[in-house]
Amino acid sequence: MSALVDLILGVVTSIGGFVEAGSISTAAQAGSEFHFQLLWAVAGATVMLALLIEMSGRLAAVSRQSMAAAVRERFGWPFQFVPLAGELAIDLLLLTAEIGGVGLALKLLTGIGFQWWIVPVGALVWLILWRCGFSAIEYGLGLLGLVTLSFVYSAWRLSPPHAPLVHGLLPTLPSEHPLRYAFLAVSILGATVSPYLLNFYSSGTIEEKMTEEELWVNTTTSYLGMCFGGVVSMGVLVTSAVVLAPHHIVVDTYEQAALMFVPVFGRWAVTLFAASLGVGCLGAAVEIALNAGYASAQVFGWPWGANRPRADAARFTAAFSVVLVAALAVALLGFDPLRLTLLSVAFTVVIMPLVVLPFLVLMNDTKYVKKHGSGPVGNACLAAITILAGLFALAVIPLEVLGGG
Amino acid sequence: MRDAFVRTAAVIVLATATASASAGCASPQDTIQQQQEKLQSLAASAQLLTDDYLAGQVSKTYAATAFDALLLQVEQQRAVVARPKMLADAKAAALSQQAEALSRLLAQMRDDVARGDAAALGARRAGVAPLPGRQ
Repeated sequence: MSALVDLILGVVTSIGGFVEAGSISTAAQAGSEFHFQLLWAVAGATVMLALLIEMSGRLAAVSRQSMAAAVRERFGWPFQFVPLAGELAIDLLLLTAEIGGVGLALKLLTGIGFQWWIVPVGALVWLILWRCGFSAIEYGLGLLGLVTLSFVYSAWRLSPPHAPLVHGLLPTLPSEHPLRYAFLAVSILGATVSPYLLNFYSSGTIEEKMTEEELWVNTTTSYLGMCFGGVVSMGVLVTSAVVLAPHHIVVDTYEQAALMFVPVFGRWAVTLFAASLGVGCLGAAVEIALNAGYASAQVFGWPWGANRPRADAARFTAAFSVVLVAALAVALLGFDPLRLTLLSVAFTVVIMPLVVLPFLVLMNDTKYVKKHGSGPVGNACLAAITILAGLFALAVIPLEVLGGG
Repeated sequence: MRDAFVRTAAVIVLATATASASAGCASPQDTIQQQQEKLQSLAASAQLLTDDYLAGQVSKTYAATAFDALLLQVEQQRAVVARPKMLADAKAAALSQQAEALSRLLAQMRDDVARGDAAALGARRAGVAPLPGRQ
């Protein structure tokens, strides 16, 4: 019964961390510029994420080690240094963007500039991290994140034509702006397959003491939960395509994006959009900060855990606090959160091969996964993801220069 | 195995840097086209925002905030086409003037919202001429 409750909660709350500044902004841009044509990118990135999340959860449940700890043990410090530095740098950028996203959501509601909200939002994030255990963070913020289902409701109420929707699930070349199209496709991937999600999920598996016998819970949560999140991202894309694209509005600001809700929600449109953006970004900010603590502590071998008394994991607490303070400092410089989000998404794609590559080895090493290693299909998927990640990593910066807008 | 991974990491970093360097920058004509489309999008956003505001669908607070954001975006786009190098091109010069006009109009519309002057806002809405761009 407990496992079933965990399963349902796990699936439903998977939205927390999945639907945030990156996925909302890239999907809104994709819909407004290319109608339904980039739905395949959301679907593909979701499948990719679900595969990697399932593997990171399986590895953690069987080996009792998180991804970061297993990579450090298997490959050693010199290899781990690059992905750790990359992950912390991306965590910092993403955290800044998410805090800015919450600030912008509050600005939409109050008219008060987003910079004024940075410190209060940072304090709220830190308070949540200081006071709450893992389950409260994951389930509490995940349940609040259900407000983002308004994107799905909106897409459904707008009754988009079925044929172009189905057509959008198959990759096709655009009639114009191919570089922009490619940039957005790669950005959607970067916004979806965030390294922090993988390590956060594997750390959560350990926090929740999932065992080898409960691997079915991990498998079901990973696939259903990520699909649930993917459907919300598709809801953003479809709503944007139906409402904004006919007006030739390209989403450059969240203020423009908020208009996509007006036809369905009327006077509640801006409030609902702000709530979806704010809650999504707040959930992601908490998870990213926590992951910065997890990754640092696991790599350096410090005691860690959101369920431990903070005094028993002082360096873990210090690590997430330092990253949070650094993100607040960057956010206070006044960077446009939307642009920062797109930049962090591009950097995520650059380091993605280094994040994905270790899976190929770890998921076939019986020391870590015992008899639960990846079969031929799993290995083929991993190899394909690794090759794709390498190609995207090479392409993303030139695409950012030429098609980033 | 460890060395292989370190080598792979180095190759990825180097290749990315090389590819980025070789990508270079967009041509002036591409930049003009891009800015034209952005301005068209911002003008269309102002029209939609005005329609929603006049229909009572969005609040005064949000409308004022959104006009501010649009104004900022137009100014950023104008700065791109108003560079001395770009202004030598007649298209860029014309676009810069269109952007300036749009900028002024948005500032006035923002004031209309602040004053709650729906009639003036409605009249100005008609003046937001859609710029030629992506169809």
